[in-house]
Amino acid sequence: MVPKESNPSRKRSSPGGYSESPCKAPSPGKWRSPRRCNGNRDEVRSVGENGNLSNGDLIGSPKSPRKELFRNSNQQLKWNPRGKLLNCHPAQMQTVKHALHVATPPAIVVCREKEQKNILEFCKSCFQQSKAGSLYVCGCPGTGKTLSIGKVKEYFLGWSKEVGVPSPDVLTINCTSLTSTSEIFSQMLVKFELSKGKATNTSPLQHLQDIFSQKKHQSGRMLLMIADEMDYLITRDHAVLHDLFMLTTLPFSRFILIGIANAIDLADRFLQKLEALNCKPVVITFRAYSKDQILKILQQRIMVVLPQIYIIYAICITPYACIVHTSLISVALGYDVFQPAALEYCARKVAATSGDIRKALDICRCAIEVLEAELKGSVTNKETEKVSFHHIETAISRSFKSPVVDIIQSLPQHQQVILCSFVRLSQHCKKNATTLAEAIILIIVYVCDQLNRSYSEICKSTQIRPVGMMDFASLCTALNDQGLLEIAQSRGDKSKKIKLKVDSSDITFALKVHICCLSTSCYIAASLAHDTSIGTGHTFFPELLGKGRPKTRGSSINSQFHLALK
Amino acid sequence: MDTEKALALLRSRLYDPNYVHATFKSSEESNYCKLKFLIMNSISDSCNNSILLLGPRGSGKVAVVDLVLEDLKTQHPDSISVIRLNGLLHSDDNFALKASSDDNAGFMIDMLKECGLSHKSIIFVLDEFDLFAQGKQRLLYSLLDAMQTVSSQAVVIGVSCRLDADQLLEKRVRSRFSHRKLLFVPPSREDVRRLLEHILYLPKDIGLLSKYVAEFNSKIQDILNDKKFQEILDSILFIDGAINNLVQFLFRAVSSMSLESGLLSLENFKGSHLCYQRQPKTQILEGVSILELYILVCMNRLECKEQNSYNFNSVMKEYKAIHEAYKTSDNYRDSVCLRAFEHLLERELIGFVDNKGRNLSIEIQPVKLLISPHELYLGLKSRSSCPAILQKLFDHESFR
Repeated sequence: MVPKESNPSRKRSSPGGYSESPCKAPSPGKWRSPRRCNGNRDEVRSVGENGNLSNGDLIGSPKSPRKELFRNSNQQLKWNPRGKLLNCHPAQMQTVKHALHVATPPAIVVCREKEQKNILEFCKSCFQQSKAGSLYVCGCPGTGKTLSIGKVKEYFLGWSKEVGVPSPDVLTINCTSLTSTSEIFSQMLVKFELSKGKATNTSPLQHLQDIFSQKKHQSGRMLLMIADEMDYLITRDHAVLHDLFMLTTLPFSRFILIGIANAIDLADRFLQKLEALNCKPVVITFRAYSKDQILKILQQRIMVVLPQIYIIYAICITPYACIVHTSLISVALGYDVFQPAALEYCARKVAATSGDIRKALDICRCAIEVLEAELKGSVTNKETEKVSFHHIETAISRSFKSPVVDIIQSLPQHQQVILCSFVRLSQHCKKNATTLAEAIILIIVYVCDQLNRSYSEICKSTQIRPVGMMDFASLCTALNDQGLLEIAQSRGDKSKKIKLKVDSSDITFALKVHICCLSTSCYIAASLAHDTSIGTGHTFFPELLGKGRPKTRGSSINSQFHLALK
Repeated sequence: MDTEKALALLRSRLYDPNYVHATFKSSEESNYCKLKFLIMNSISDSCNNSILLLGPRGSGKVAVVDLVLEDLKTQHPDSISVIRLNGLLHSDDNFALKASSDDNAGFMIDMLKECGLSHKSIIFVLDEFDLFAQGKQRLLYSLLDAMQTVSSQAVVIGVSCRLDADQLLEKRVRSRFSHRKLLFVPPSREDVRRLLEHILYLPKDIGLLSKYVAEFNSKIQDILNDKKFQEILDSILFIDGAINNLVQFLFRAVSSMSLESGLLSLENFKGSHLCYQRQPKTQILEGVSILELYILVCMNRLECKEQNSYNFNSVMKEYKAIHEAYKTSDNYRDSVCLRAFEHLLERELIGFVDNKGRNLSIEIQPVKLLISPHELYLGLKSRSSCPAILQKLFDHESFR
């Protein structure tokens, strides 16, 4: 949450900063805590590395004229979603959306400090002891694995420069880009320049194994490899993955392998032999983000850096232009773009479902677009319009809500009747299932003409003219295309097995609330409700039959169908 | 001359999907506007976006995409390039050689980088999106992953008729795909009316006699307000509400416009509707003999009595029972009935329940009806030579 007192001229201690400013020492009351200052300084510096803005230093003190400058411009930097800048469309909205985009790399990676530290320590220890090691990073999608490891790589290279050792060769590879799984070894050879001395008839893997088993081939450099989406290397005999990790166990190998994948038990399932050799990879789990973590990440992203245009604007109006020019301003805008309750709701919802930060960012951007659309339409010129709870709720319902109910309500009438007849057939069947065991092995697969009969019955009772067999088949095909039914492939047209893929309670709900101009839909829904003597909470169990003919038990249930259709 | 010109104009309109779907261009809430808004935002913000268009077949998804892309090309000619992929052709498993699919993926990634550098946006249109989600989904993954970098500017539009297309994606791919969806639902009654007016009204400024144009348009107005026309329209829309279906219905009607009067009439629409209502099986029943009709009615009775499976012998039993009860004159021997039975099998009005009993003789294999009771009823009604007894037997089962 951006604090209320954030001024553009935030005071920070920085080594070279004060030598330039003509100000006196600031009063203690305005200082932030050093920890926060440090954090911000890192942010500033790494932003500089990204090339967005040059390194920022601290500006001003409460009494300096520059503060006056920024106090003035701060008023103009209030959240003004409609504000046009230089005749382009709302720039503030654009900046915030850009900051919230998944593709925008964040300045620092928050909430993953512990994991990054662990990985860095591991790499450093391997490096210092000059021995090989393997590490496996796992976690759900959207938990920041690739991003964190990228940062760790940078820190590691930086550290090696500081310490003065030759920096390791790094290969980052995404395993989805390999045409075949064993290509990874040839890529390693190329990148690490180990191909000299390779005989033409040895495979790349053998050559690597030779190199790592003999001391004379060493060049003295450590090799670091980061393999992303490692489960693409899994083959039927698990050979490639296994060989790759085994390379780290060879006596003279100086190879650090970091593997990234989603499966938590990859190491246990595929690398059991390594356990026997006592060289199992270190496993670091990136857990799904909690609500507080998501909130923190979102807030950190919203503290955007001013676009260059604002800075030029600020520079022009100050008499202290020369001083300002030398130390560039990096300003954190104190925009209260989002209402705090809205952001928290978004974080809570995403944390409860998947903990995937990409989803949270997407929802926030979607909410801003909802706000944008609203502002476009309305004529009131309120200056402060924030993204409220209501916008976030709209965005969340758009992404989380399944369109099934809407689709069912918008289907043509006969297709709705077919879905109803399906539900009715299975309700009858459930009613007559005498034991729990029979209910469990209930087949949800019906043959086309059984369905047709049920369909005709409903048409009869609701006075709709039923369609013929061929039209019926084409209606079923249309439903199959949409994914509401599934028609099994079968040789003849006559005995196609049809399965319902939508929950029957969705169908009942959709048709009950459907306000249709015809009363027949209501009648259908009413007749369904009347038949539901079992309760509304029934769910379908997956069918246990494979392809082919029903077993003998199944045919006894078929007889129950016939009885039920009385 | 004028009438021919009018006819030609109407036909060309009906077969131009851009014209048909341009009806809804002006309304704010239409999918056209939403899609256009999204793409324009992505281009001007130079950020990446992805969206899924879902709807039944024939509802105009690809047509709307084409409309939007055409408009954008005229507005921003240099900043967009479009790449179209189709799931039937380009999905992973459909390649004989693995190499060519990776070449494609590599090509797409390179294009992304190039266009990112030159500040152009690429728009990927992935038709039959659910077919891309089969197998390992490499193409989708590489595409969506490449869009996660700042240097690329792309919009991915997935078009699919499966409503759960995004559930088919792997979780990694789903995480990278933003969850925007546009649903294409069948148009409401008012929208259908607008569509009809948009297509059928002749414009005043194309060189036709203004008197003729006025007459034509007022006739159309009368037809659209006619209750019978509403019923015809309803019965078509109850089976398939997609715009394509409606357009085909209109095309048939328009093509049967009489050139002397030069005006459309309700008869044209009724005739088009009859084509829709063609019931092949009921038509077959008109050529079927009386004995065969008896057999069909017997089978229907057996089915109504909920016999699990019945074969020729049980049908014969039923047949004889009827004749004993009603003392009709149509009593034939078994061998004659067997021949009639075989005729019905050939015409596929009845069929065997399964194909396994090939070795058994015809009399023992279980059979079932392949024609619905309603169609049978219509067939009986339309046969003037049908004996009254059959109708009575049929009605006896209280089926109307």
